[in-house]
Amino acid sequence: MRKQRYSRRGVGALAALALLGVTGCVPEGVPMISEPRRFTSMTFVEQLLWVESQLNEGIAAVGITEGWFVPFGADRVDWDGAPENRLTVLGSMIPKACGTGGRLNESALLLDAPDPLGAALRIRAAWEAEGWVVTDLYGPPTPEFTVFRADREDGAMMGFDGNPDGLILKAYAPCSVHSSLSSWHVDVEERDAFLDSIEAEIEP
Amino acid sequence: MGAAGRPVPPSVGVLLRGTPRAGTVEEINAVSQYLTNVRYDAVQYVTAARPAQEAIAGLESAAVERLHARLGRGLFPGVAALEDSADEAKSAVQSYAAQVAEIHREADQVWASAERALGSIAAALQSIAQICDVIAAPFSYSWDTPPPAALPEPRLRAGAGPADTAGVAELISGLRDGYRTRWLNTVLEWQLELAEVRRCVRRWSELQEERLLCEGAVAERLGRTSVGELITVGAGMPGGRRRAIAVGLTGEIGGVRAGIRTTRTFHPELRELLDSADGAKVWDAPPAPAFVAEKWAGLDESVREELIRSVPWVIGNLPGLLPSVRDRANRELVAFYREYPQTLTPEQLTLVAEAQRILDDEARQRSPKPPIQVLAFDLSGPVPRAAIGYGDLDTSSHTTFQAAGMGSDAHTALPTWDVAARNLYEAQEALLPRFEGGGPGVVAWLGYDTPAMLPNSEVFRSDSASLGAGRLAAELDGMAAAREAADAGLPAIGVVAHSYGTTMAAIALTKTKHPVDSFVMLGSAGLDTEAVPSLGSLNVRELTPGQLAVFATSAARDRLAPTGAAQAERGLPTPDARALLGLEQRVPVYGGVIAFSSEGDPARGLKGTDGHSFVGAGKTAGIAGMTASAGRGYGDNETQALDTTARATTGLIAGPDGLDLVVTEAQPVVKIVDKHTGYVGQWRMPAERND
Repeated sequence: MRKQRYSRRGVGALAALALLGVTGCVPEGVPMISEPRRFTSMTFVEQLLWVESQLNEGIAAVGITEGWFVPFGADRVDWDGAPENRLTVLGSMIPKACGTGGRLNESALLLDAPDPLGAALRIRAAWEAEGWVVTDLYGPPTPEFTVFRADREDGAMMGFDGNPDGLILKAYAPCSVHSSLSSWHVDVEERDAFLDSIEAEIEP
Repeated sequence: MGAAGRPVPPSVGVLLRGTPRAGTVEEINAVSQYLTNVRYDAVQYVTAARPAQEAIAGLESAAVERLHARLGRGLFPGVAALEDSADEAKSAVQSYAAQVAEIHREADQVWASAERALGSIAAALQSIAQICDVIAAPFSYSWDTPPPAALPEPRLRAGAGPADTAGVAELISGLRDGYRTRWLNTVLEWQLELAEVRRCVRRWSELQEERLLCEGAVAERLGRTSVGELITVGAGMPGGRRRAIAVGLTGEIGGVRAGIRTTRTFHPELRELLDSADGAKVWDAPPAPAFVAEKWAGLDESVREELIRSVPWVIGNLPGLLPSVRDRANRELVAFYREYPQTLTPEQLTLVAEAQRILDDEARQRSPKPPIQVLAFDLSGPVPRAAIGYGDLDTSSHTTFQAAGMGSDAHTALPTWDVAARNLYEAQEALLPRFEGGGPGVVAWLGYDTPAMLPNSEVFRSDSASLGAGRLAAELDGMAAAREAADAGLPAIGVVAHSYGTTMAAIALTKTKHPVDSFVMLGSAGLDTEAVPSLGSLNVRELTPGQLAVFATSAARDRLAPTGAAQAERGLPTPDARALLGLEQRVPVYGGVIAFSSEGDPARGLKGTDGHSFVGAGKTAGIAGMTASAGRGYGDNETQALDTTARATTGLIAGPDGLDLVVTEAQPVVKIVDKHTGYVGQWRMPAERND
């Protein structure tokens, strides 16, 4: 009895779905944000180097070059260019899905930064000068809270988050359809060779 | 000609970067032919072996018995599996070949068209340059910025032409008339050809995308054949893939029967830990986690090591032990199953292969981020179950369990929840570094037999939810107990549940001893109103006095979840969830839930959810929002749903203010009886909060 009752419910749900299909009442008008429609052919290594250079340029623009780190759960790895730290950070990156392609991203942090608003304004100016389109995410920058992103036409994105606790600088490489990013399980040779070259720089 | 702008690129390759063309269709067809041969060989083998088997059917001896057993239990089923794999693989490869042929054909067209268009632009550029030279107009046009359609005003070079003004005017007028039309036509052609070049660049990129889709599809189909899964399982093992395929299909290699061991659950030392030497019940009826944690702390190191090695299934699935301990045991378990693939059902083999893929990915990272911890791994029943941890769950400051819903048994759902857990981990990590200490930890919890997809009616009942809830409750309390006993500090524990997972998780939260810090429901399929009469039944902490940290969202386009809730007569956590045909009005709404939007917030760069899926796929959402499109599931990156979930589970939402949060009002249902027919129905009535 019980089984039959629920079977009816299943049939009812299916019928309702079918009816909706016939009448085509799918609601429209959901806010849309355009997905990246352009894909680059950057390789895994090119994206690693891009993310690294973008973070370095951002840090230079902020004007405080010491004390940056990359979080690893509860641990931190200094973002200081030392080969062992580069190996740790760059060796940890794996592609994130990006449409049908993939891309790398990373964040660097600085705790207790003096004058977060000043830092925000400096990096914002630098990005705008380079042609990035900067958008405030929570209203105009304030000393207590500043979050904005910078977008480039090819889908690359930078992010900045500043408050009295610290600064967060984010770099998202543009989406790529290169096989080393979209099928990285099988196409890792170039990446491994690159990481090996960093490893070779580490003092024994 | 003056200072020109950018010249036409010397080669189309400068514009059409990368390539959708790789290999040849003939090479793919050769693979297809090979698979045909494999299938043929399999049929030949059976054709030859069957008569031999029949010939000895009447004989009786121990040797004949053994031969029968080998053929019947190992070799014939193995050949059948091989045949199936070859069939499926061939179908996938043929489909791939057809798609590649089409992509190559179009790629050639695009390349040729771009080459032709660039040639036309070069000619137009040259023609414009010549006109500019004649009319003494400046020339600084780049190939990708055609000049305006209007001819520049002609001029005469100093010393050239007549001396009188009238003569100059006449000459200039002549130049204007002589070149206006040619200029216009050339510019128009330039514009058209430039548009064509841009179309080619865009299409070239799309073709690469389509090629990737084809490759992904064929790889997935090949990976899901029995042989494909054995290849994954065997990689890196002694004997490698060859052994895994042979043993997995037939139970033997080189004519020698591979040994079989089964997982043990009995060990005398378990008595110290469980009050029983047999740990077979630790999944379904685990001892109190606090008891386990205390007892484990009292064991000698050597005993602990012995238990991890000898009874990994028991230790790996025992709530109350630290995740790192369980991870070690469960990795032993995965390795064990990889060694004995012949003991696995197809579903079990799929889960082992997927778990191994995740562990392989971790191994490929020089510094795993996040590190993986296999928190639970159970192949003891017909439906395999697992929980995979992301981050260091021994030390994480925030630990979030993500619970799946309908049609999400571990072997089918792990790939999706692997993505979802990494997404949440990353979203939380981006928020957490503001604070000192700890980091996020996320558990993809696939620890129960989820109801099958519609039209199966299991999803309308709470049976699966009740069974799963007991185990999830044990895991939640186990996490708290283990961390407490290890003096590792209690993490903020959160539960994020999707679809029918909300039904299950809500029941679990009525059974826990340790309160969780947050409970987030995404696309809820409704809560069982008998098991959870009000939010007050849930063991969840308060955000502010009287306000529980219970959050929920239902995307406007997700009609599946509310329809399921209405059909099952379960209460909804959000009043704005819309079922088909207004059926949601038949079920009550819980009061006191902090409801948030998942429609997207373009101003903050957050996307909306457009269907029921936790991780979206495909270019468009399914009809009635049954599925979400790529990037627009509840758990996809850069969605409002994920952003708010990350904030809720990291304690960054201090109350219902901000982020468009609304506290729901309870809306009970009233029963309505038709006096004439006796039909009893029920309808939602607005009412005061009853939390």
